[in-house]
Amino acid sequence: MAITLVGRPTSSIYESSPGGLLVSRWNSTGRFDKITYSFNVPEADLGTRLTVNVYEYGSDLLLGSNTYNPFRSGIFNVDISSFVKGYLYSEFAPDLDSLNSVDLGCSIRFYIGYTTGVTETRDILNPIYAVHSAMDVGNENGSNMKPFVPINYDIDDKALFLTKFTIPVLFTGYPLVISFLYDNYLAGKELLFNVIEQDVNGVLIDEYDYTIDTSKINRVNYIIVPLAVNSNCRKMVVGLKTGQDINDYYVDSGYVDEGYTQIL
Amino acid sequence: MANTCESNRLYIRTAPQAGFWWYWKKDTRNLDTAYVGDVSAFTDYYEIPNGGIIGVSEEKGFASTADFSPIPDGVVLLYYRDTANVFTGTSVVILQSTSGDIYNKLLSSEVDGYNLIVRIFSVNFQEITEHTFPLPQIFDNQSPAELRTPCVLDYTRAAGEVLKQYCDQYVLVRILTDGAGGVTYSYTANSELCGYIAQQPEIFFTESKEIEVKENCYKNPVYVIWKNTLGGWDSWLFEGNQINTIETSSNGFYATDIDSIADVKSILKEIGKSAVSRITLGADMLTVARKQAISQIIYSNKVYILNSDGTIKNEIIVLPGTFVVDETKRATSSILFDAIVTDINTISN
Repeated sequence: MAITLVGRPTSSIYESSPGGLLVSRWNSTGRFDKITYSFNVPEADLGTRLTVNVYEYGSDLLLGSNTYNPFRSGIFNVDISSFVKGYLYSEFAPDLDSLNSVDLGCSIRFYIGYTTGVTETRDILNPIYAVHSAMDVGNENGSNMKPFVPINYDIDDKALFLTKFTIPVLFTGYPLVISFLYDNYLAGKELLFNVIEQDVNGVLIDEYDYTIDTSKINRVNYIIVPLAVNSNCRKMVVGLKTGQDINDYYVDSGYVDEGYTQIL
Repeated sequence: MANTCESNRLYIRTAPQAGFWWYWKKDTRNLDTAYVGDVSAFTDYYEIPNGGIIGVSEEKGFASTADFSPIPDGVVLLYYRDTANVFTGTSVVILQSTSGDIYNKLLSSEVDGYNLIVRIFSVNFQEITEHTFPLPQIFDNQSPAELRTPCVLDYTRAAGEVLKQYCDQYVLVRILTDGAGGVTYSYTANSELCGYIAQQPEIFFTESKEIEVKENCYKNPVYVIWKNTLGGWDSWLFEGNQINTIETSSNGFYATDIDSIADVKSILKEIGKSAVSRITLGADMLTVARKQAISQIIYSNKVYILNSDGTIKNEIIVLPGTFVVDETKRATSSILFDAIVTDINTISN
């Protein structure tokens, strides 16, 4: 028997999807938020000290560590939010010359390692994101930012932008910034920022796409909303889109390979 | 099909079903194995027409490259070389003409994106022939390097047939499962695809967000951006009337020593003053939803005044207090708040 990790700060969508279990790994770090891992402590392991280390994903930098002494068997919860909060900060510094850029300091991606003795088990296959945000008290997902994460979007549950405005306003002459969570589920996909321009009566004037820089993945991204192309535009409808998962490669009927010689 | 093979000719077939055939004249000169791998010395070649006569003239088989000394007559050594003509290693592929078998020492992963070089070494190494066949770069990922079924007149692939394509550093990532719809996909010069791969339709993964666009005709604009509780940045242009104030406080006073009151202009002196620049911003005629979004300014941890080019003009601190967020009997709302813009650098005595 040993102390084992049995729960992570994720919020699942469903368990029997084509891609397996889909989870939201993004968590807020407000005053009352917690980022909780759950461990099962067998009776035989009471008195065993549990050390939990938090590492930055990618660099493996140790962000924080603490040792716990569970005093009763069963589920033991560890809140590691204090280890990551110190690395988050608010600073408005987008790349004003790019469509999208990383909001530095707004998020950090990490994983935990835990040990009861010498050998550490690292949960590196399940990295979690901590965001410099604070979910509303009473949020059904707790500290998890599931409504803002792009998963399950091919059925419903489109990800929300990180704005409190129902209808933001683009004041011509000033930049409008809109942010989103660029999750790893979008890895390998082309991303486009779609803009629909409408006149004062809501009639369609134009529609076009901008290409998102996909190197900014796994972070909170700013998007500098481009100015309207048409001078009579009074309303825009914007959104992010992508292609679907690639599972295999097929050719369309009518496809013919070039460069081959004919069998006679 | 009648066998039209000629004697003294070695034919190579690259795959049982490929139908690729090259033919060349066999030489009878020796080849020193030291030359194997030193491709820089081999610059002469002539074109071997691809296609041609199907047939077998003789069979050669080798278990390893150690068998290459001396190179027997008629053996064809095939090298895989990248597009920069840099030899990649000592691995060789020997494809020999048989009734249908292939000897292939390389895995498909080792030859992806490479050109197939057919080199013919004469036994006395005086005449070298070489031909480069740009690979269609299409491999069945499950088996060793294998050329696809040739493109024949009116030959088409069935919808759903598996294909993987390598095109100069990237892979086409368009798929189609039913052969319908999609767009023609452009391809690189190395892909040599003569058809098209249609793609799945793009889908939105975010909400469609409506944005109101206001014209640039503002009076006394102050553009404020703040960090909202979702981790994003919201902004609003305050215009019309702002109140700019300076709040001062004294840093203290002291009395001077005097010898005679006749010479004194004043006894009390001030050490200096602290001064803070403040601004009062407000907006009215706001919808309830808009007022609630803007209200996050008053408890945001980071608030800035921006210039029109998006650069930061000031970081401001909204003063704490009690704010009316909403009055239920009113259809529209307003907001008013004070903020410290900056400490003013003053002189002290």
